[in-house]
Amino acid sequence: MARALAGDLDAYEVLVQRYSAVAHRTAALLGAGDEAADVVQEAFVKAYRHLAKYRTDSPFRPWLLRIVANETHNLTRSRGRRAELALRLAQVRETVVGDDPAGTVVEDERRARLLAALRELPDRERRVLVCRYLLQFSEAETAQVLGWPVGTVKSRASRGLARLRERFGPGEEVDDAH
Amino acid sequence: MPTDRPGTPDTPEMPDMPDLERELTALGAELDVPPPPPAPEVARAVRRRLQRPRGRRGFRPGWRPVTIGVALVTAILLGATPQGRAAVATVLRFAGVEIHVDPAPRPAPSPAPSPAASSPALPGERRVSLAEARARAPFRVLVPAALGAPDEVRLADGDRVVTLHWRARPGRPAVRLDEFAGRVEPVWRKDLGPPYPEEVRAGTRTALWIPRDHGLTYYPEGSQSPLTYERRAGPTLIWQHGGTGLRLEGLPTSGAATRIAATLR
Repeated sequence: MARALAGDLDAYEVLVQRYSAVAHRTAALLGAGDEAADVVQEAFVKAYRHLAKYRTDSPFRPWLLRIVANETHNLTRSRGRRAELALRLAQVRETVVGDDPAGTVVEDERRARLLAALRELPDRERRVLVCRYLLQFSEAETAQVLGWPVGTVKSRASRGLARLRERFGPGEEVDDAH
Repeated sequence: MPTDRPGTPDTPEMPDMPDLERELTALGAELDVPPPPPAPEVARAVRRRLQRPRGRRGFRPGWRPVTIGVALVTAILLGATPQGRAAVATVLRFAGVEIHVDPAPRPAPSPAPSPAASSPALPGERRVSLAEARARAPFRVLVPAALGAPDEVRLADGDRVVTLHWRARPGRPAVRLDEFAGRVEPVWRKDLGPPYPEEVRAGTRTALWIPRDHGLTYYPEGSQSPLTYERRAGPTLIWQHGGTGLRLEGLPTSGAATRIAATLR
């Protein structure tokens, strides 16, 4: 880390390798979609150029991911595109046929509805829920990545969850799928 | 198939997590995320870009084209680090030329500067007539009246660069004038140490005078290909005339260079 800070590209390359996967997933889930690879590359280039602003007593990961989140935000804004359109359900479940096809179908529908509800959330609420749950960042890390105070993360997350619950329902209907 | 259904016991990783939150967490694993490129590949791509100048990718909005008069875009590349690294490289972009001023510039190639026609050739460089160069170049090809008709005209890299050469004469060294589209994508890179290029006037236009030898690199069309042209350049005047970017090399002083530049027709 110290060597990367001193402008050593070899050392920085090691950091890039270590964090490229999480950076990619963060960009993709925050809305970069197929352009996640571009966003990540851009973010690493910017991070290197701003290494002087990085405070060595804080963790590198959220500092980097904040740049990734900002780049993703800029991208989706500049394209005038709703970021959430990039979120798609994987089709892998269709090939992984379980012993309970009917239950799987019900559950797929449920996931699809949850995703649709998530997509329709206001941008800020969706971003905070993506960070907290889909990416499984802690509250503190989410706050750093999105650049908001922890209190804001808490309030926007609970508002987003409440809105999801309203639209999506409590979920009891799948209880009998077994 | 393991699922996070309401009513199932909490998993050890997520104690006390309400159902909706667990479903959201599970959703994260179900989403179609484009596979990341292999980490070493990302690292290499990033490194390549860091070793090249800024703003060369299509994705991000680059600097705005220079449209009115002359604009100087200054950017700080690297700030000082906590280790007390005092070196701050500055990048000036001007008239299609990117000038890197660094207290410890990357070393210029060793041969003595030679603006002569025998210096290394640009990609696809060939000899043409002035009329052909004018017909093909996507910018106005201008000739300083003070120098008269050039002894040689070269066209290079898909008509992107026109180079005019004048051989040495008594009282005047050999002179080279490169002309290119003076906007948007940088065509040249110059690496120099202090002092900063000097702002001078060439007729009614602002120009930059680089008083010392420096490294000169040509960015080929398309920009992603490896650098193919690099040499040591002597003192150079850079300016822009309409949409044409110009670099005049071979004259020893800014006075001599600007007097010639002012006679551009």
